Amino acid sequence: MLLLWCITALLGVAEEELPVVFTPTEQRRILQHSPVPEPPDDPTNAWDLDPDAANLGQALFYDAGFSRNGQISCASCHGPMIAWTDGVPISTGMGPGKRHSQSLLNVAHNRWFFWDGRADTLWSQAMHPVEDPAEFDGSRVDYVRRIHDDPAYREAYESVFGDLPSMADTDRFPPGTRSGTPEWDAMTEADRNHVDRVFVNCSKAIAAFERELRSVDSPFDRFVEGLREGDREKMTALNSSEQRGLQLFVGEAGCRQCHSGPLFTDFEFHNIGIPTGHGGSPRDSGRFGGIEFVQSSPFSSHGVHSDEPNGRKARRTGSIVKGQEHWGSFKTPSLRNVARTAPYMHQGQFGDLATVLRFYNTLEDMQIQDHHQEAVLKPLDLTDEQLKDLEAFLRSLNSPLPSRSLMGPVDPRTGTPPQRAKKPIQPTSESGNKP
Amino acid sequence: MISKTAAILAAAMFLGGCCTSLDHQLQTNDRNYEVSWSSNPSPIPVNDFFTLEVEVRSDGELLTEGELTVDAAMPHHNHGMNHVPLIERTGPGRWHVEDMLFHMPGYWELYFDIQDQGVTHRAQEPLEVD
Repeated sequence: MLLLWCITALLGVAEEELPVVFTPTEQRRILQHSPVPEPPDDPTNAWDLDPDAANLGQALFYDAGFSRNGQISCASCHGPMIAWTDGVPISTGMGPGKRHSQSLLNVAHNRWFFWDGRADTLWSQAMHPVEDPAEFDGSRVDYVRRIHDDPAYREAYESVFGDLPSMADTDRFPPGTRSGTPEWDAMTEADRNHVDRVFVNCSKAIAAFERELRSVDSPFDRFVEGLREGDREKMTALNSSEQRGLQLFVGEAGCRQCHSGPLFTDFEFHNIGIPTGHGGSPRDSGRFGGIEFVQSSPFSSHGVHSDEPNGRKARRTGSIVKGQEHWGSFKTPSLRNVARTAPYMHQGQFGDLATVLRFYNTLEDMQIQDHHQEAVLKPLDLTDEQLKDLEAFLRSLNSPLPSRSLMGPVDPRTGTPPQRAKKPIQPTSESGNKP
Repeated sequence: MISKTAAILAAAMFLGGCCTSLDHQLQTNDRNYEVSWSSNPSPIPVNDFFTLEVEVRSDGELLTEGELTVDAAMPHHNHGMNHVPLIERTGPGRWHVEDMLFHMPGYWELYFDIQDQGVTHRAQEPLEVD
């Protein structure tokens, strides 16, 4: 021990900075987490990779004009300055929501969307908020009319999707009409289909934009590059505490049971016994209700608005196994950029990462289910130092945020920021001397 | 001295192995059928969809009748896969299986159930997926 102390003292390295030695199994597991591949293509969205559609989608994403009060946009709950989330436990739009807003960073990698997976494509997810009373509280007829009546939107839409039929007849297209109402049912099937088609296309444009919200190059990824290449310099991207946390993550702490792969999620659903806040068993059905919804929705991948209704995605949605274990289960969130997306869990039950880790460490106040729960979930019993290391590792998963050009509204036709009104320049003696 | 049961098992495994290019061979629990299978990709990945090619033989001959179902479970977690796999017969005694997904690492059991002449026969394979 004295010799070790002497060596570290001579090298000027504190004892806690000694390098972490990873076993071959740990190394193999670590390599599974990086690099992050390109998001998978979405064959149900023919405009998934269309840059003009993405421009239109970006304009729609930041536009509050589709909400009932003109103040709520997608960015209200998915704000670019807060890692495309909203930083509060339960999101509020036109009314109080039920769940926490998830970050949209790397969202196109998901198999399922929303905490309960009730959408199986990114574009069908983007449709939901418009008519939800707790979100936009708008109507799809008004939505389509605005696309039709606004010259910039109309030009952008038609250049991507083709002609927009007239919406001028307010008897055929009654203002304020949303699906599921007597007014909607009174419209002809052809008119309903017309509105739905435009509404879906705009959602596909939003999905094309959201696909670009990537953030994947973290210190952890540089460390993995070094591990793969045997480059010790690159491996210093993680300090000793972060490396010890990584070792716990792939080993003793068992985090990778659910937080697997390059996105640190299995994209699937689990009930980990998070306290419900109201006592008793979970009232939120979670995945149980999500399965029913996604399998019956006409806007899922098997529906008429899908560009591949008989494809693999549609088949897999149809073949989901629904069991009692799905009640109260929620999607495993990605841990990339996790330090930026507090609070945590589906209702923002935990305010910071330390609280999340304390829960896993003790399972204190864990909700014992009437239904299934992860039988393998046991208190981790880690030391305070280990918890700090684990948190340090999680913080190393932050990456540079997407381009600033994606962080605000644009002209739907060009994808350029809107022109700001120019103030007339009042020459001063100083500025007036400049060439 | 080799017991009679072990000899029969060895012979069955030999028969199974001699007639198939598939890299896993096992028997149904009642020793009536030999099941051979391969996965693509191999080994089975964590949380990526994979396919299976399966052959079922009886006394060394590919099964001309009967049906096959395939399923898997994590017994320690009390859950199985999240999808019902798509199983297509590709020839006598041969099946192609799609949409297999082991969404978590750990211990899985893979089940092959052969329905033949009104009776279900199970072969099962323990697998550590990591």
